[in-house]
Amino acid sequence: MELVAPAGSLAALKAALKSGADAVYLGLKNATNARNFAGLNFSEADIRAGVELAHSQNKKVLFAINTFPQAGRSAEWRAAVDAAATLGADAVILADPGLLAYARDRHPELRLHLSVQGSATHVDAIELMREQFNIQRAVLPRVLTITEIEKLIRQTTVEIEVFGFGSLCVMAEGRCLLSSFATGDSPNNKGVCSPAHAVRWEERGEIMDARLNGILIDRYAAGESASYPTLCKGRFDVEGDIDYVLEEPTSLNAVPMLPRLVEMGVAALKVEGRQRSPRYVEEVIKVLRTALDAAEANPQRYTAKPEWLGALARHAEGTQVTQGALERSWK
Amino acid sequence: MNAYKISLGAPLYYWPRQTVFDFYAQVAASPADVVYLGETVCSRRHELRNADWLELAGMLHAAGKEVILSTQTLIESQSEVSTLRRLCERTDYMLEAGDLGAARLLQGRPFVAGMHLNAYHGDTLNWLQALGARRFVAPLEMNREDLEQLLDDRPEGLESEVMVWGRMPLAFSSRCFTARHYRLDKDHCEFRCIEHPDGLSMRTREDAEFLAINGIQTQSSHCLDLIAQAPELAALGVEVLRVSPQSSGTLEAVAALHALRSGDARAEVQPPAGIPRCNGYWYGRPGIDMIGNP
Amino acid sequence: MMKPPALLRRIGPHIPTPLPSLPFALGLELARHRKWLQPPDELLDRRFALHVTDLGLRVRFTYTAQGFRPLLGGKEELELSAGTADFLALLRGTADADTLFFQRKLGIRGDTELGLIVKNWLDASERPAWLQRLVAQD
Repeated sequence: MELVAPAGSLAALKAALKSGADAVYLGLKNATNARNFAGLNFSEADIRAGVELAHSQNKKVLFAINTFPQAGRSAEWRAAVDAAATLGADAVILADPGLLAYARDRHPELRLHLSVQGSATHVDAIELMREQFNIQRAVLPRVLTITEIEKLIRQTTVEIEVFGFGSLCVMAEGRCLLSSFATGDSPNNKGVCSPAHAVRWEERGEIMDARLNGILIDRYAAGESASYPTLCKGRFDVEGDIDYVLEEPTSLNAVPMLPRLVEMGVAALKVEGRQRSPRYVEEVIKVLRTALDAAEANPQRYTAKPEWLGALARHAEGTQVTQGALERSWK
Repeated sequence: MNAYKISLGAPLYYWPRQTVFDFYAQVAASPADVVYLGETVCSRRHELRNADWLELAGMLHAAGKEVILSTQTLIESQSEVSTLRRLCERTDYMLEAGDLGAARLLQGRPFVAGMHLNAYHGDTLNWLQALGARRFVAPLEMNREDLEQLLDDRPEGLESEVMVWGRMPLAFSSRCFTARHYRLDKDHCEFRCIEHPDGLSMRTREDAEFLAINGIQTQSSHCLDLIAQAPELAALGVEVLRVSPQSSGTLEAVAALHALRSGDARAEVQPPAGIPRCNGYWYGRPGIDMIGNP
Repeated sequence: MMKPPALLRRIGPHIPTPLPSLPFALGLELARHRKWLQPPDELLDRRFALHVTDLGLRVRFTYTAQGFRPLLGGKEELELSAGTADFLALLRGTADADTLFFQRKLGIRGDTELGLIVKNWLDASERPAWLQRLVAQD
């Protein structure tokens, strides 16, 4: 199983390779990728350096161009696909069928992955993308149980990539407009969720309010752990009951399930976090490399070691972890 | 002004069977032209069986409506795939594809590409039409300028539809938020959605309206209201304007759209009690905003 | 965890902000001249404050086309606050800013997007070995 690491910068890419990633995914510095954060992502020179470094170690570089081309602006997204091909991408990760059609026609030799933003959750959706665009791999939205993923893998020749660790998206990716409802910008239209320009922290004594475009997403008491005000992970009021209505600030952690994922034939394990630091990438990938090697070497004797889980928990959002939709009980 | 058709989107809530039948009896007598039917949110909901939906379809077809069957938006199990495949074998009505998988099953014959298929630019419209799409529903977050551009870039013969009224379906999860709110398992949810004919409002801790939960779906707390923009939408070339059913105000919204296309003054349409209105997306602003009279 | 010297801790809150701001800005400027710090253009003409909470020390500076300068008038757009040890760990690149923030050890006030630009720039900058040694605590 391929370990796929996030890289928001050249430093993160180097950290990922050093820690044992088999592939890194990255994006250009614009709205064509779904982690379009301030001060993040790659210039062309960085990409050249990153690709050269990765290829010198027989590692892969995947280019995420996984937002939806906006009306009248298809050329920007096409240019990003052209750039990826020129710069030596081992694959491009796309979500939009119009753009997939362009990539297939213009760069028939370029390997295509369907992004999680493409929102293909079952065999018919994935097979359509294969029949139409010859996609080689699909990244699954975080909505399927491990049992359903297993059934799916048996029904398609397309490689399946699943998320193994990182901040948890509670909604079916590619079909969530909560962020643009609150701020105008969404993963689909701008490559962002709960963007920093709309975030304000307000401290009053020991209490801290997190606002998104003025909307109160959460309020932290003294000493309470904070989290990024991703709007689906705040506390709200439903019928007078104040709680994490949609999801707690939590990270996905599939490490306990690795032998099962390997055995099922999952082709790649993805780590979320292109917006996180090289330090995060280094430590998380190091743990996942060790765990994955152990799961592949001796699946029967595998147990997720407490020190792995502890190291991962330190980097988890809200320091909580869950197996998310992989486990039926989460739903 | 170009005349537009008025459509009713598939009902997003879990209403009791009799309520649904009563509602569509009124729809049959309304000026709505197109009616989408079917359960698109949650496969556990069972007040209406397949036969019931088909009975409604037959009744509305006989009343002169264009009837379209909508497929479930988020498919997450093999059994849901089987249900989807059975539905897509039907040839008596056109279908609305809720996801890419449905588009695969419907390819080669006319279908409607639903709003969650994310058709943001002309290349994707061309692709959908090549598969067989006869009409597409624009993404909710699209603003006026982008819609105009998209319509300029659309292939000949592909109709467009825009949602103009109702709480907006913004997100889908495999988790059921209604069950979670009641501390119930999704598999033993007691079908509590049935208690909330417009979903459950989710307010901020400052008591501001924000979102609404409807099973696995998250909606805007606010009721989209682009009725005043109907003439502008028609002038852009939009063929169908969609009203999404709420527990009240729905038929008034249909009537207001009909009055406008007939050249009459429209009446203000009130959303169900306590639900504010919004239209921000149209103006390129956060969807929650309301520009003009609140 | 390294503790600041007791004397500094006591007198820190009584030092007026402009006093430490000048040598601090000079230090940044020196680092920039040596190419250890190469701020991105997004930081041009933005105004910053750092608040070292356990020392009660606050420095304010701006980054102009001429380089780093102490900020004497005007309000900062972004203030970062943390304890000495956490600031040093960030400087060394051994702490993850997000993690510190989630644990409420790093405070961000003002323009969050500007904060993110600073964070991402520091993350992306490779630290020279001397810096890692200088601020190493073990």
